[in-house]
Amino acid sequence: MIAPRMRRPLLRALVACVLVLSGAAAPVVSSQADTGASGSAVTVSGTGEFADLKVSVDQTGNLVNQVVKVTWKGGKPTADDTKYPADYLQIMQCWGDDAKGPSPEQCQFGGSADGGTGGGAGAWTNTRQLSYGNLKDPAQTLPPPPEHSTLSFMPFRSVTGERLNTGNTNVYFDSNTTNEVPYARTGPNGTGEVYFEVQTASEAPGLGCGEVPKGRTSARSCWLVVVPRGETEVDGTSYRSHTDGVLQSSPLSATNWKQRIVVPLRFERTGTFCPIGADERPTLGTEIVGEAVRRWQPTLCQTGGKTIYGYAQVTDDTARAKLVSGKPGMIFVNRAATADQVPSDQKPVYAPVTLSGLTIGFFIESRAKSDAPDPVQEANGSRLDSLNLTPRLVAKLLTESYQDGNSRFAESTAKNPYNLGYDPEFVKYNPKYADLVFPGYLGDAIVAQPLADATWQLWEWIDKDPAAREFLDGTPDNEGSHGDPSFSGMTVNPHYKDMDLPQSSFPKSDPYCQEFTELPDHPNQPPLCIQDKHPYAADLHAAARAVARGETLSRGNWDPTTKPPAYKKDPPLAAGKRAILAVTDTATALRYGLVTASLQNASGAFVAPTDASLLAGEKAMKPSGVAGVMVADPRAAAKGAYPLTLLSYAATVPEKLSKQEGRDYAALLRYAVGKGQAPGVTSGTLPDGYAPLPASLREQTESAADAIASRSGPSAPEEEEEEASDGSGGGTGGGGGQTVVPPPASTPPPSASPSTQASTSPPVPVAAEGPLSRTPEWVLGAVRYVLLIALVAGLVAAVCGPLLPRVAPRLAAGIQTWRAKGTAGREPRG
Amino acid sequence: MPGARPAPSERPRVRVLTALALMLAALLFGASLPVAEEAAAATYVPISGAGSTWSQNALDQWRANVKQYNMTVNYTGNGSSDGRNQFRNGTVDYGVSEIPYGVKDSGVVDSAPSRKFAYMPIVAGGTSFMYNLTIGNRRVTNLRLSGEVITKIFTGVVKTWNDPAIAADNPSLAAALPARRIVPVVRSDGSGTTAQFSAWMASEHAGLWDAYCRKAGRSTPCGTTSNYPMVSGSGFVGQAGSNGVSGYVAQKGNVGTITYVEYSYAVYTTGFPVVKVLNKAGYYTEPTARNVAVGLLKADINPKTLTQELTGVYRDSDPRTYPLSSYSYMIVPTAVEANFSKQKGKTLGAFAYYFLCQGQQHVDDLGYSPLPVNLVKAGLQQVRRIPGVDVESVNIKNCHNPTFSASGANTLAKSAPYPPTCDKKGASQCATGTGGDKTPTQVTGGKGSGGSSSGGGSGNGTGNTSTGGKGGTGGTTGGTGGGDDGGTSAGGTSASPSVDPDTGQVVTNDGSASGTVDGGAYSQPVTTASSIGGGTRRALMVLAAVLLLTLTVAPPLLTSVLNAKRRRS
Repeated sequence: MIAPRMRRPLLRALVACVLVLSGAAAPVVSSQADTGASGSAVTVSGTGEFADLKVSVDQTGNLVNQVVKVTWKGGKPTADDTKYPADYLQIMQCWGDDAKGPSPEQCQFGGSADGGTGGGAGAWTNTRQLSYGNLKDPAQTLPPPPEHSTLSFMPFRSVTGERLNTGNTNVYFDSNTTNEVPYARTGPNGTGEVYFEVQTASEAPGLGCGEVPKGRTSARSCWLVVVPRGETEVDGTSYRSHTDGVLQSSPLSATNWKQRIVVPLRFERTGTFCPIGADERPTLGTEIVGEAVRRWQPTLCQTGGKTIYGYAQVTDDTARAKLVSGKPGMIFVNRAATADQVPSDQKPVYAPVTLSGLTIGFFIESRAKSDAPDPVQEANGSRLDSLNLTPRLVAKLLTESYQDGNSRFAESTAKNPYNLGYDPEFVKYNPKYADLVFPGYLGDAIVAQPLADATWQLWEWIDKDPAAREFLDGTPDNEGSHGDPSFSGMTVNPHYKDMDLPQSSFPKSDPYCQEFTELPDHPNQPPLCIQDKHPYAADLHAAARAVARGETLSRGNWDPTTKPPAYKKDPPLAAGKRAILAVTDTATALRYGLVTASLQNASGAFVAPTDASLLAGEKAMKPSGVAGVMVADPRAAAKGAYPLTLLSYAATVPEKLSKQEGRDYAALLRYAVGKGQAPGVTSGTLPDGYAPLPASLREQTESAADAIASRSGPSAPEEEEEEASDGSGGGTGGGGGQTVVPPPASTPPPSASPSTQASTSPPVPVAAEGPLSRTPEWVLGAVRYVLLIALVAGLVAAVCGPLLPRVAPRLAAGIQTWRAKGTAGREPRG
Repeated sequence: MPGARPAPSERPRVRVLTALALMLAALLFGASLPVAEEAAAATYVPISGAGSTWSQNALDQWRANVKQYNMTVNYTGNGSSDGRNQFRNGTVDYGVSEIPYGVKDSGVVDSAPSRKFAYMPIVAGGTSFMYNLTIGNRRVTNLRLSGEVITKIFTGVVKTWNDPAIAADNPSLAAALPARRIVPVVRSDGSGTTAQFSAWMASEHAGLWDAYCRKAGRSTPCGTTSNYPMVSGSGFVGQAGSNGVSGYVAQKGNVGTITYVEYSYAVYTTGFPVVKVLNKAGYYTEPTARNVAVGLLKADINPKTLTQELTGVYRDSDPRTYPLSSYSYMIVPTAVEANFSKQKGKTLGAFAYYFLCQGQQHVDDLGYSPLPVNLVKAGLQQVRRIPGVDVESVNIKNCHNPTFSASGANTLAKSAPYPPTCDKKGASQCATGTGGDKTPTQVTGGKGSGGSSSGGGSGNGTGNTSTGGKGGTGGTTGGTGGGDDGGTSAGGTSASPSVDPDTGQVVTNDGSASGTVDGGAYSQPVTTASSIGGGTRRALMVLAAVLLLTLTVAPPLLTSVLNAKRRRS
């Protein structure tokens, strides 16, 4: 416990010395390539009756906690469209140091049993249970039942050496934490795919993947195990002869286990983590930087001064309020504070830290219309990988204008298409979807509730597109100057007509509620309104996560049995029939394995968010009016530019920071644009979905870091930032700040302070020298009249001034005479 | 002392000396510097919990931040009732709730689980009243209400925004309050926020609350309930979760709505104003971190269970107190049972220590109030009871809690500013905004001053329809959306058709602007001629401009005229 804390000041000094000696402090961007994804794909064939089955895993090396894509071909199509009677795959992660692979005791499987089998599969197929009533596996010796039970279960042997005979779940995993995929469907053409979350020792301590075992130097590898299920049960009978005509037994049962396909998984060393207990240096701001900041945190605390940084996700507005509050800390935003928000004595510094984008992430599985050609029918259930959206299509999705984005009973949209799939405009730009149908879905996108600058940018892109704006103003999509006669004549939901744009939130304006007064068995069922049918997600992560799980978040089923009776959350959509969209950011979308839509930019091109298109989008940005801050240009004509490119800024007011705060935040910025921009999968790197910042922006941030380090300190108290009185210490801004002598206790180590400056180029202030702020009248009160009074006084002076030479002598003379009179009269009394 | 920080006064000197020594060493031995030892991070098994959305905004930040310490903490915010149920059933490792087990709710006692457990306070905050009200198409941000009026609103007694009782609380808005129906938005799921709010009503306005409960078919005394009673046909709206109620009120079209929700959702998630609530000292206050801290000084904490008795908070006579201040707590296991293990206890203990100390540092940025020192101390006692916890590390000395001070007083409460006099009950009313909308509200002009334009605020696309002031001729073009002809009311005020936020029916203005309410068809909100913002400022600006111009031009002109005169003479 002593070591890390005692070492901190020591290390700071140390680092400072090194900097002095080496003379160069600029962090070097590691050229560590993303070695994980390519080159480690593996394909393994089944055996026996599954000899034709070929299972591929797209990445099996350098794994962290992430999603890998498991695909297969040559399987027998699952015996039913919606249920799982037979012919499916069961996938799990196991540990096992034996080169031949794991034993069933070493597998994380059975956690999902808590939630039942979801209907449609045999009772014990997602359990560790080995007793199946009359059905018996001749190859399986039954272990003794757990305490208080008469049934046998496959025990779980953890990497820590425990053998837990506790049934389906144990202290290491349960329904909340397991990553097992109990049922994976094979489509009519014999193929299937699953996105599988691989877990490290952090998420699955019972498996210990990626940990370095005692006495060894390399990280522990683990296994992906696929148990293919055919049509026969463990006793050789057909699945049809069992209860409900479905397979019943557990994949861990010896006979089923024999069919397993194993794929070795090689892990990155689990990251080094921060020692808990030290005080955190707080940061807060937009969720758009969240994935990157959380990736950097565990490495930042091992770097330089070993400062631990906290990060609170708040709205951009909250962050801006914090920025100008006098205790700015460090904030993250997508737009700068406007001049009228910033007190005149504060000069915020903005520094770009990440480049990403807002996106529509989707999870759509192919569903052929009944009259579609055979190849389309055969592709049923396969995941679609492209989606082209115009601003007008996005406007339709976000304004409850499709019937399935509102309610099919709502009069306001009764004449509009059900959803994207029925909209000729969508099919025009997505010909692949022509023979597909999505009854009830793709009528809207899941959106997050909190206000956001990113939302503002999305609406601006829609607002500035003539076709979308025309649509929002009430023109049907087959009329007006941007209509296409072949379209459906869809009009905007009247509750959104003429909507004021841009704005920072996603309204849900149609007040339609479906009434249920007629139903005698549900006498008190309240009407079903938009926010139960299409609720908000709590944030971008919740939105993306819902899509990845096949959940619409909708609460559409009235459950009179709960207390109080309520609309219950819909179960996830059935595998093979998922069709969900969400507005989220590119990094979050990729984290959850979503495919991202291509959006139409002002040049008419459909552009997916890639490093190249995000960089082109950044290039096309225009100045925001606040120095050093750029904003996206929704009408930029560059062909390859992604229209919803988001450049996220860190910001602070250096003069309001203590010297130590200034140094810590400068270090954070230098890391962010140094090693933090190297793409990768391990901690400290830049996650997928962010494009590495171009050199010019990194330089801007380097200069900002210098400015923060040099301008902070003099007027703010060292370390004790608690309860600094509001607005104190203003006015002493500027670079040097030698005017205030800091108290001795807070003097920074002399060796550290000069060296920081010596090691960096002369500070280049990048303060936003924006127009001086106009303080709102309500803040000022009576002070606002000062100008008026001054002007009146000035006028009087101006008018009197030229007269004064003439009037003054006369006046003086007059006064003298008056005085003379006065004194004369009063003298006798004096 | 293990783990203790060196005394501050020694630090710089130590640093300087070591730095000098090291520099010397570096110079002498070149690059052979000691390599920083990698911090040996503890391993933590993942834990999962469920419960309250009241405190979820804070909990989510803590969960995200402990990731860097290699802790995986899962949480599902499905409401306090769900949290208590899941903890009782053993499906989660911890629950989060605003009320304890054992509260009799609608005649049924919410039974305690058979597993051993303890309550631990996690964060304080204010249950706020977030509302959506406009006057002349501008959002009102400075509404203030007494507890009695709030209770009357949420029990269906006060039904329109121009009710004399609301006007009495709001002297500067009184003349302009619209005859719009009040739509109370309540939680449809089992909720700790509902429990907090109903506990306050049951304690402070029992008569009104019981009368309402009787109407809703509940047995009385109604007491604390997690499930808001609904009277059919009352026009109340039910929404699930804090996101649900705040999201509903935040819709532009849902003018007239009001809900109870933790301050965080109004301030940060949606950027909406909240009601300033009248406290016993006669001041209307907002649930800021400091006002909540002041209020909670009067909370009686059961020393054994740490559950809260808030009557003292409701009736506190400090002018800064926010009367509906309370705290949320975590239900933690104190025995190895139901899938809970010592390994999980180690994680839960470390997580709890983190949020009781470090985690409290910045909850005020999120709309909460840091726990006062007595609750942190009591909470740490509970943390020590969790099996498997690393007791050594649960140490009050290293706790970076922002409310701690040497004297033991709550620094936050001590430094809380006193309210301005315009927040005192009386003839004046502060114009400053509240919650997430700090735009000031100023009502200038009175009835009949005419000329302001209004779109009715219902956002239903009537385009350029403008309503004339009272007595004005008004350029009404009727409603284009609803297929009706707008209708001009007796008073000469016209309004576009609006949509009843409850039923979704288009409500047309039938001309009865009196605000009589009788169940089904409510009258269209009437916009009076008052507008917010004002002419005074414009006049002053014009005057200033004229003066400036004169100031610039007059002297040379005058001089030349005078000179000319002089020359002539």
